[in-house]
Amino acid sequence: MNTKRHQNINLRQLCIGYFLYSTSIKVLTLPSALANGAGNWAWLSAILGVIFELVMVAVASLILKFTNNQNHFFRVLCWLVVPVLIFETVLTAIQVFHLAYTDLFTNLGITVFVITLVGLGLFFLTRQPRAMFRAGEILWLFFALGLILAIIPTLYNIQVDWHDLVRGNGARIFTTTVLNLGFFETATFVLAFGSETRKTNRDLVRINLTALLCGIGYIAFMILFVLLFGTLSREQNMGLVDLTTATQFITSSGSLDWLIATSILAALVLRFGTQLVAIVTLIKRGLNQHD
Amino acid sequence: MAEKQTETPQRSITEPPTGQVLLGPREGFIENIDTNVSLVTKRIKSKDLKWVKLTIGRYTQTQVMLGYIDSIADQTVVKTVLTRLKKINCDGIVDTSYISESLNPDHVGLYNAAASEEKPDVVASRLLEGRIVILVDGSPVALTIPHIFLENVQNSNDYYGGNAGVKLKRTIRLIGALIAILLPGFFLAVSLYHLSIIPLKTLTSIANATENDLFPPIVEMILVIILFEIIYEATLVMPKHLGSATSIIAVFVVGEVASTVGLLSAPTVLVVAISGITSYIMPNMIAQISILRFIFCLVGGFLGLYGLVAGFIVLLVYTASIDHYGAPYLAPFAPYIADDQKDALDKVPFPEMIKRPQSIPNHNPIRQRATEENHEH
Repeated sequence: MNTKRHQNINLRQLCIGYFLYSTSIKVLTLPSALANGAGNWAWLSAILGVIFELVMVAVASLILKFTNNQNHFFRVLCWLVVPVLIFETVLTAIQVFHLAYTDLFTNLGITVFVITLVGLGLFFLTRQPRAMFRAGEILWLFFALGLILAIIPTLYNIQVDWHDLVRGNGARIFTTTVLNLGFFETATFVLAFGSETRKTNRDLVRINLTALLCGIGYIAFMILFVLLFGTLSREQNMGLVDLTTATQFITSSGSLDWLIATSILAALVLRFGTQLVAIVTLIKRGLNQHD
Repeated sequence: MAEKQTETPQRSITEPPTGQVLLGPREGFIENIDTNVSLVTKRIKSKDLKWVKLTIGRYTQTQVMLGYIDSIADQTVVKTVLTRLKKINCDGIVDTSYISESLNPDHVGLYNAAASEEKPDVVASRLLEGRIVILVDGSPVALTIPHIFLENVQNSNDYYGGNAGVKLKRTIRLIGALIAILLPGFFLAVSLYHLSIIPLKTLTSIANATENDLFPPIVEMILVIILFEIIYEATLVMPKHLGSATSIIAVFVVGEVASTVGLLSAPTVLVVAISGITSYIMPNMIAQISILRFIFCLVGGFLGLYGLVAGFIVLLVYTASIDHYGAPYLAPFAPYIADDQKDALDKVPFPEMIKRPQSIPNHNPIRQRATEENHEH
C-alpha cells in the first residue's frame, strides 16, 4: 500500500530538493551580491560562506535528530538558532523590497508593500512544510530557466583571464561576512523540510554530504562567474555587479530581462516563505511539540 | 404487466458532448445507473471489480454505486470514501455533483476532490489505475476518486491517436491554462506599471488604441471579463440556434462597435478574448480558471508584476498543499515522481508503462509483466 508514500518528504526528495534550492536560488541572487562586496575575490568569499553553511547544516541535522524531552541542550539550541533565522528572514524581506520597490515597482507605496509582505508571511505560516517544498519543486525549474537566460547573452563575448581570480583587494572579503550569514542559509531548508520523517544517522550523513557537494559546486560556479564577468567588467569599466544585477537586466528593455528579474523576485519570495516555515519548525521543536 | 408499467423511459447511448474523440470509443453514460454499471463491467470483466450499492436521500432514495477493483485500489481510500458517502444525510440526491461536494474534505476549496467523467472507457482506465468510481442513478456523469491536476492535462485523444505530438499537446494545454489565468492580469501590470518592458513599436500601438478610453484600464478589463462571462453563461443556457445569434452579437457589438466608438479598447478586448478561448482548453476547470482570472486581474492591476509573482506563489503553495484521499494534487510534478513521468507531460508507448501511477494510492503497483522487449527499451 502506498497511500502515504508520497505525502511526506523522503530523504531522496530532500537531498535533490536541497541541491536544487541551494544552486538555483543562490546562483540567481548571491553572485552579484558577493561580487558587489568583494569584487574579484567573491569566490574566496563564497568559500567562507560555504564553511559557515556546512556548520549550520550540521547543527540543523543534530537538531533534527536529538530534540526530545530528555535532551534539553538541543531544545535550548533551537531557541539560539531562532534569532539567526529571524535575522536571515529580515534580510530576505529587505532584498524583496529592494528588488520589487526600487527596480520593478516604483509606483507602489511602501505601506502597501509592507502590508502585502506581511499578508504573504501569514499565509506561508499557515501552510505545512510539504506544501512549500512541492511549490518549490516546480518553481526551481523556472529559476533554472531564468538563470540560463541570464547567462546566455553574455557568453558570446567571453574572454577568460585566470588573473582575474586574484585581482583586487582581498581585504574586501570581510565586508561580505553579513551577506554570507544572510545568504548561506540552506540549513533552514533542512530544518524546514527535514522534519517530516525520523532521521537515522545514515540519513543525517547523507544530508551533510549533499550540503558538502553543493558547497563545492557553488564555489566552482563562483570561480566560473568571476572568470566570465571579470574581463568584461574591466573592459567596460563597470563593476562586476553592474553586469549581473537585476537592475542592469531590466533597464535594457525589449528583451526578456523582466523575466529574469521576476524569477529572482519569485525565488526571494519563496525563500522568505521557507525561512518562516523553518522558524515555526524550530519553535515547535524548542517547545517539544514536533511529534 | 406490472413490470411493464414501472419501466422508466431512457435515452439511448450516445457520444457525450465532452471528451469527444477522433478515434476511439464513442459510448457515453446515460441517466440509467444499471446501464452505466453494465457499460463499465463490459470493459472490466474481472470478478475483482466490486460494486457497493448505497441508497442516499430521505425522499429521493437515490441508488448510488461505488465501484473499485479490489486487487488494485487502496482499501484505506475505499473505506474513507464509503464512510463519507454513508454520512450523507440529506433530502435528496439528483445528480453526482451533490455527492462530489460532499466528498470534498476541503468544503471551501477551489478544486474538486473528484473528477467528473461521462465516458465508460475513461472510467475503466481510471479504475485500472487504482481509482474508485461513483455512479448515481439519474446522472450521466460518473465521479472518479482520487483526482489530481494531471487528469485535466490528459485527454482521451492522447491515448487513441498514437504517441506522436502528445508531449507538445499536453504542454500546450498547460500553457493555455496559464495564459487563461494570467494574461489579463499580466497585461494590466505591464500597461500600468512596467511600460519599459514593452517594445516601443507595440507600446505606440497600445497607446494609440487606448488614448480615448472611457474607463481606467483596470475597470475596463473587469468590465470586459464580466461581459465575457455573461455571454458565456447566456450561450450555455440558450437553445442552440439562439446561442449562435448571441455569439454574432457579441462579436460585432462588443468586439467591433464598442472599440470603434471608444467604449472599450481593442487591446483589452483582444486580451480577454485570448484568455477566454484558452480557458476552454481544460473543460473541467473552466470555473476555477474564471475565478483565478478575476483574482489575478485585480492583483496585477493593483500590485503589478510584484503582485502577480506573489499571487502565483500563493496559488502554487495552496495547490501543492491539497492532498485529497492520499493523492497529492500536483503529483507527479510536485512531489516529483520519476516513474509517473511516463504518462505526465510526456507519454511513452503503453508496453513501457510497466507500473501503475504512484500518484494514485494503490496496493498493486505492477500494471503489466515486463517482457524482454520492454527491457530492451
